[in-house]
Amino acid sequence: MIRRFHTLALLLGFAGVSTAQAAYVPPSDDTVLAEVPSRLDPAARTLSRLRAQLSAQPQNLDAALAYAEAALRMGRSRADPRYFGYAEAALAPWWSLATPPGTVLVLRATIRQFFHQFDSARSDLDQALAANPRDAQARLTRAVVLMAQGRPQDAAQDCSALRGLAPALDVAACSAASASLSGKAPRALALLDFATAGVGQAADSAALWALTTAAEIAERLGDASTTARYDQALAAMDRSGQPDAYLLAAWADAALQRGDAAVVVARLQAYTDIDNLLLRLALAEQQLGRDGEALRRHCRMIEERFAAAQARGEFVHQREAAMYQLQLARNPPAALQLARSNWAVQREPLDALILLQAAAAAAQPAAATPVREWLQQTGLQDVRITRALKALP
Amino acid sequence: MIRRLTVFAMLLCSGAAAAHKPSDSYLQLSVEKDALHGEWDIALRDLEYAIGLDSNGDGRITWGEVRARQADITEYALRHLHIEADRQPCTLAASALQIADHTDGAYAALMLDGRCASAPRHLGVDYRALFDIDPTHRGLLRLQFEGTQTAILSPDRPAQIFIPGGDRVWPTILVYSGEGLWHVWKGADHMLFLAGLLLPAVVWRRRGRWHTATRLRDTAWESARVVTAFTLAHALTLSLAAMGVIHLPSRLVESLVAATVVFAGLNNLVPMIHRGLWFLAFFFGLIHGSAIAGALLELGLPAEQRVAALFGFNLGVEAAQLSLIAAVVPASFLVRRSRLYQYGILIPGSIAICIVGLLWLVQRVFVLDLIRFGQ
Repeated sequence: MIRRFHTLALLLGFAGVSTAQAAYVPPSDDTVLAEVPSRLDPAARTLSRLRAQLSAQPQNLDAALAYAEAALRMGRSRADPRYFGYAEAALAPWWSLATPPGTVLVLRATIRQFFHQFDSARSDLDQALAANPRDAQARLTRAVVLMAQGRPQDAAQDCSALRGLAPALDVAACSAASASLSGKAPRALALLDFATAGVGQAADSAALWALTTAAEIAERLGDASTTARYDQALAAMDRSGQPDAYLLAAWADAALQRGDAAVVVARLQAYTDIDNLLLRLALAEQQLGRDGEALRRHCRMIEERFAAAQARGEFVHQREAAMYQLQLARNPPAALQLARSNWAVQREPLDALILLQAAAAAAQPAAATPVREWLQQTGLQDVRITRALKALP
Repeated sequence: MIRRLTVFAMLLCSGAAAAHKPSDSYLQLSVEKDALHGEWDIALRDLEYAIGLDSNGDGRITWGEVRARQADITEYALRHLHIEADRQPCTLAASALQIADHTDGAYAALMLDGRCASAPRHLGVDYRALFDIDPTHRGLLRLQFEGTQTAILSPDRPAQIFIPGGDRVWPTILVYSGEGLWHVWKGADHMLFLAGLLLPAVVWRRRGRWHTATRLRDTAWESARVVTAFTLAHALTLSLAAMGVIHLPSRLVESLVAATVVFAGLNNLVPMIHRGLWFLAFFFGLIHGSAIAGALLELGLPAEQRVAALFGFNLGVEAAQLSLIAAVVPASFLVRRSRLYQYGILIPGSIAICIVGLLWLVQRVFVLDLIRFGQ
């Protein structure tokens, strides 16, 4: 594991990037050094109230679950891994039990999937579902993990099992997402349109998921409605008041695809602290071909983030690192190496696309074989992938 | 009732890849003779969560707020970092508090100074900051100790051991063989077991009669075979246990070791096995290896050169045992025919070994405190 990691580090050439800066004394007592959630932030207040309750009785399962769930919500909305760590700490008394309570298992799986430990996340969910097959949260989470692992047919089974256990919109989004990945994209899109017809001005997470999924399916089908669908999803996100890093990245990819880099630059300026979006911002700046200074600065920031991740012995950024090497650093062999090791962990359409593009750029068509097999097996329809396959020698 | 689900679904896809940086602290230490110097950068965000910095709650941490909490920051940090030189604690103090900028924002930079009882042969770093509130936190150590070493301190490996030039093979073997040698010399139970095994190498009792060895070469050869079998076996379990492949409860292992001591003594008085003693030694070696591993685990394998360390430790253990043979076998060979050896050393010695072994056994099985030496 460590060895493979070093190979990657060398390949990436980030090893020389130093994170150490000289320490200094700030000029004044009023110098602001860091921003943290203020006492007025309602989500932060809830979290600190739940934290206080938990520290009063750390062995109380309900208190731990309440705090962990709030921390995960916070972590999700801010794309901030620290909150996932806080949730794990809250669950510590149950974390290493042989049979933790089902609720703990589902949260543990959520934490593990965040850190891309998909197999252990899935075994947690298997365990939770073996104890209680009607655990809807476990079922939904497992469906999502299976989709991330490129197993949409298995995910579809979990989605159908959700019927009657979960709200109709969740079931529809789950089923449509899995069906669209296994050759039934047009039907999935129709199902989603039917399910979201009554959503109107809603902004809850299920509605957002459904709208995002619909936009993604339209994009893979090369449908003319793609841009309008992404805009509809973005509007729902804006109404919710919380940014959604996943939607923003998918939207930016679609915009860059159709050559609309200006909207990406305008919208993503505010999110340079989220690596995924910083990468899209740099890609947009590259596409615009102006303001070389901002592009260089953002590329340097990306490299520093990779170096910092590497220093702590982790490398979950492989998809983004592959994209960076392929499109910004223009180093196809490094991109291919990263895309391949990413493919071993994560198998969404975007992961397939990057592996195909890297294989073409590195003139190694054989490297695309696992993706070809997977495409045959799932029957995925994706115009971007069809184009990338044609580009392979 | 259909409960609304939390769609953490999309979080998966955005996932860690889209995230802020996880929590790290940067610890730089340098060792110069018995003096320690260093800098420890801890993210202000982490300190805010651990002890609270934003006293007015406006969401902005200012230099004034940080300075006001200097004593608490220092206290929190030093409570979670312990440095040992050759297992003797070193002092550690923070002489100044500054700010350092890293890729993800501002950190409190503590300037560290410390002193150890002597210039360390090996340095233990025990780091526990923030693990209790964020198990994904990592301490990133950069150590100057006759060369630069780095380590990632995590809840799984919070305490690590470093030796001068520890990124190289020979210094590692040297330090760990010294540790192995010292541990066996100090650990009376292993020596007593071996002594029990070796006492009858020159004289033994069978069918009520004394037999004496005739040639030193045969005796030395037989003893070396016994000790080699013992060594190979304990090297096997020692290595497996140190690498975490096997894990046996220490009370069980320690009790079994005591039982082998009793057996070794008893075997000299009421011979059960004489020929093929090496076979027995091999079996008992497996048990002793697991016990010695406890000591190695306590010391810890170094961050780098783990194989060299393991090899060195085994080498030291073996050297200690050979030194025992070198002392005992020729001497006892010389006096083997004297009645004094048979009735003054072999029998009383074996009885003593039995008694001590029995005491150990009782004490270890029932977790009592009967005798203190050799623990």
